[in-house]
Amino acid sequence: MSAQTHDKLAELGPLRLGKDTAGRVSILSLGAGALGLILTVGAMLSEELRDQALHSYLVAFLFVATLAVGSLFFVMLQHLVGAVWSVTVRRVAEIAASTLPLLALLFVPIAFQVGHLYPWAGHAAHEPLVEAKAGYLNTPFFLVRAVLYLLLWGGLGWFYYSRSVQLDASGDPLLLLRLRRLSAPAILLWAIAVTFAGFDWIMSLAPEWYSTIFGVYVFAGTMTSTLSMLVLMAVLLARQGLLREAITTEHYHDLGKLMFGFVVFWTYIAYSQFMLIWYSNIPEETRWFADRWVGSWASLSVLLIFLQFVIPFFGLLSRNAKRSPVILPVMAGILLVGHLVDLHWLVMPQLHRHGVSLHWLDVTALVGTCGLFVGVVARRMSQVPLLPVQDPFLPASLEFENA
Amino acid sequence: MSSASLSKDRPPRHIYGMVAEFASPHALLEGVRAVRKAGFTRIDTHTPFPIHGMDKAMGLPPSKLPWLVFAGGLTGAVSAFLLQWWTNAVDYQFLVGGKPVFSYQAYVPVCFELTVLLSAFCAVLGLLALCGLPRPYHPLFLHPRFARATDDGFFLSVEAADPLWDEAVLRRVLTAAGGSEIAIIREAPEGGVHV
Amino acid sequence: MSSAAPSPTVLQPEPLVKPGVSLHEITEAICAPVETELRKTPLGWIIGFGVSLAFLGIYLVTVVYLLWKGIGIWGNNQPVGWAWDITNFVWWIGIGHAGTLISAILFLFRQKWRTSINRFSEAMTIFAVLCALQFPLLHTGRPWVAIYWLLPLPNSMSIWPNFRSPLVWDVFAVSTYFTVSLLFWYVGLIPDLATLRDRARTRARAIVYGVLAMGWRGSNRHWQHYEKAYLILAGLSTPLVLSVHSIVSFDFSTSVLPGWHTTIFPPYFVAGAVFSGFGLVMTLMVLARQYFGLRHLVTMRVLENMNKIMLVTGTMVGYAYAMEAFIAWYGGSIYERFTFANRMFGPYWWAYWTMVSCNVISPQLFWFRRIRRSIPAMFIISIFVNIGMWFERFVIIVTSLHRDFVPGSWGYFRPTLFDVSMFLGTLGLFFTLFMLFLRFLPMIAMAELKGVTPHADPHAKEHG
Repeated sequence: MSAQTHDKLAELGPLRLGKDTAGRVSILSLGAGALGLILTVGAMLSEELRDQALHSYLVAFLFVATLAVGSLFFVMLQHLVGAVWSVTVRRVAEIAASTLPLLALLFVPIAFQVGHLYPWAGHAAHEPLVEAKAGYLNTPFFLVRAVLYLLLWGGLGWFYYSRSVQLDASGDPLLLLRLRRLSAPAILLWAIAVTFAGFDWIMSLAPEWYSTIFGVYVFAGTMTSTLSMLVLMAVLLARQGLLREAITTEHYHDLGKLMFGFVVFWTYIAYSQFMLIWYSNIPEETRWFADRWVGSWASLSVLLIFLQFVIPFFGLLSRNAKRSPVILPVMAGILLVGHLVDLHWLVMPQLHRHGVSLHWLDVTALVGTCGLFVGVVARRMSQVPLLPVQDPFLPASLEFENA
Repeated sequence: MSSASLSKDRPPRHIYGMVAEFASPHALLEGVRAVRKAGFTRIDTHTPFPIHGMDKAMGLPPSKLPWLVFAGGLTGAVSAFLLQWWTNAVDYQFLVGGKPVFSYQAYVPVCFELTVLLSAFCAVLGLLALCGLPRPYHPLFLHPRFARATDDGFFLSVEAADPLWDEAVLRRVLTAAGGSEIAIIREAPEGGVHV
Repeated sequence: MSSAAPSPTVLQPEPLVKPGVSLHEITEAICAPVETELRKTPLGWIIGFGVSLAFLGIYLVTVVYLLWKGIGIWGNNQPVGWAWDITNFVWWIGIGHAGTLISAILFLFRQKWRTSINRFSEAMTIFAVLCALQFPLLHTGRPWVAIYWLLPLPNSMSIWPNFRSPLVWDVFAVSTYFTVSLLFWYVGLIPDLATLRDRARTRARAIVYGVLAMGWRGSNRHWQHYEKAYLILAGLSTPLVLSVHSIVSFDFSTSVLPGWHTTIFPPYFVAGAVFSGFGLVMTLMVLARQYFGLRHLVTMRVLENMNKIMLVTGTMVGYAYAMEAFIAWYGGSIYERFTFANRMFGPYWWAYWTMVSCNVISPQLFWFRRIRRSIPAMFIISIFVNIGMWFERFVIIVTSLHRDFVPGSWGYFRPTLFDVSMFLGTLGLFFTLFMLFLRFLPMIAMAELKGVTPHADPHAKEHG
């Protein structure tokens, strides 16, 4: 690396989260997370709370899972297209993706309760339409598939994170080339895993329902929330005085453009799925949307449209909004909440058929999974530099400007 | 500008302005900075492709075009919705496919298409309006070397209408900034309508 | 990007334009085919144009006969009420999508390599959409009557179009797409038309190009609005292109017909459209690049990137085939299951497997760098893609229709001579317009290409 780059890096100030802050944040989050998990998992053992606890836990698990899996996709995509602008943002996403091996741990409560969570493994197992697909929807195969998804994501997440950290020391361009070469086949496998995980973990909650676009729908929501998380992480780091000169308005602008693009994409996919099912009005399909139009679920459906489309679309439409240090993070926050509402909307009508019903377990479950995620991420942020310091494209990324 | 307000050192009306050529986009940028620093405002550059950073160097305010387009898009969306609602749910009601006469779920595609259509029209017509095009005749076209502005030439022009217009000063500034082939451009060909 | 970035050569992309090409050389190379005197028109062009005109003749004869006799001259009949006409419609529309993808989406993603092929593929878009429009319009039998239920025109019967019908959405989508593509193309052409005007050696050329260029003089006060307008048009075209093929897919997927009604149709059709469009751009670009000597402007890197996009979109199409088949089984409906089994192993098995081999398997060869960079290989694969994507629409439309719900009305579709002549005729229409474009308009966006050369970098001190 040239002396010039060294000087530039020196100007950026500290490149790690301070040990004190990291320690405080991670202990606090891990503590809260552990408490949340104990309460939620404990509730699963009680006959009365079990169903609520399982569904709440599924929503919370999916929330963290989509963020980590989405970060992995972000990292791989940047390698695939050889993006220069995003180099300064990449490490933050790599750290989020590095939590993927832990996802297997969080899946354990679900793995032990398949029969209570999924009707096809429980009370609906003998309905004719469900029996017709028993070759796919059965507990052993479900678990085998889950292991495959988790192995794939965990392996890739750790690989992309650890190799990038290795690059910090060696600066070997061949290492970067290897990451790039792997990205195309890895994304293909990733996409198949996300599709089928969406089918298995969410779609099969209503075992008679099906939609070919569902995998794409899950992907769209994953990306709006992941990009929002990256923006918020960068903003929080900037508050700690980190990466202020590295992740500049120009990078926020590009993240904002991607967010806006995926908001439009999510809307497009969500509308296509809804309209086609509404229009054809076939009982097996249309019931799923009818369930989400019962009582207060209808209000939540409308709220979802506002959170995932109307507000972020108009909020992010102008160039100035994407470059604003206020509007962009606010929109990112709205989109993260929107994604949570989306997951709630996907999962919960299967349990509460007559209307929205919030429960304290929704909170404990979310605190549990998010606490663990934040705790690990914060710790890692103090252990490795927050920029891929030896990446040959880092200087260009630091200087990046939108035309 | 009325001829009465012309002072003695103001240019006669048949002079449009002065043009200089620069060797590269970089040189042109430097030239613009120098001319602006000397206080001239009615300046323009003419290049075969847009030059990164030139808007800033010339001190141009941001384009108003996005607002025109936004208005067009909004008009498109609203009129498409009203059109579908009024024709199908009010004026000519008929049941088909078991769908309600007012099926807003099905109105989205046409709303979207008309939003895009009207936005695009506003973008193109707005572009022409803001540029003052079509304008088949322009004094600069009289300059024999000006054809290179659409090939590989980088030109800087200063209009005679500039409040600071002074041939000698301008010539000096342009030369110092690296401009060559400095020429005076007339409003009309020699021996034309003017003296 | 700053040239100071000390990146190792393995990661450094090849230059977009062969180094050392001056701005004036770019102008010369691109204007040369347009500025050749009429008397000196190359023989190759005359032959190509003649063949295209012959096919255009076939088109005209077919259309006149069709309007005289009625659409009964086509092979469509119960149960296969849509057949080649709609297959061709969707195929042509799809081809158009590559142009918009290249000009709009790749522009938004700052993929500068698109510059050398965008004009070319935008022209293709416009001509392809024009060809596509022929089919549904002529399928109405009497287009001048159909106008009343296609467009909301006040009329003496005081009826209005049914806006709940996807066929009416199609009218709006396709006509908007054609109009916006034309506007986008024209805006891109303005600076280049000005170049042609300034280089004109005859009065006629000066007047024609002068009128078309509208007095463009490269003013930066204009460039400022121009760049904004171009960005906005790109931003509008991107969702537009998604919407057009999605709405085309709604024609099928809003129905309750097995094999048509499936929610993945919108994105699946869009991916397929881009895929097929890149197929045709590649076929034509390989030929044009060779024939007009533009190898230094349309570099191997550009072709390789196009092949990568074909690999990605071809794989997406494969993903959609797999999802369709999986969910047909997973849904548990016996009709869906039958339709897909019938597609694969029924009377039209040959069409299904042609589609899969051409669309999913053949682009997988692009995983190999050597094949991505081989001109003969990419030429052959691109033709396979064109064929495969035609068969995809044929498979979707015909195999879903030929087995009606009532076995008594099962049938088998056979095209007539006029199905074939109509299709060949639109090829004639397309190539006639395309040959005229190659002869009279700059096939590469000059102003834009100059903008990505090293000379254009305002930080570079030296010129030349």
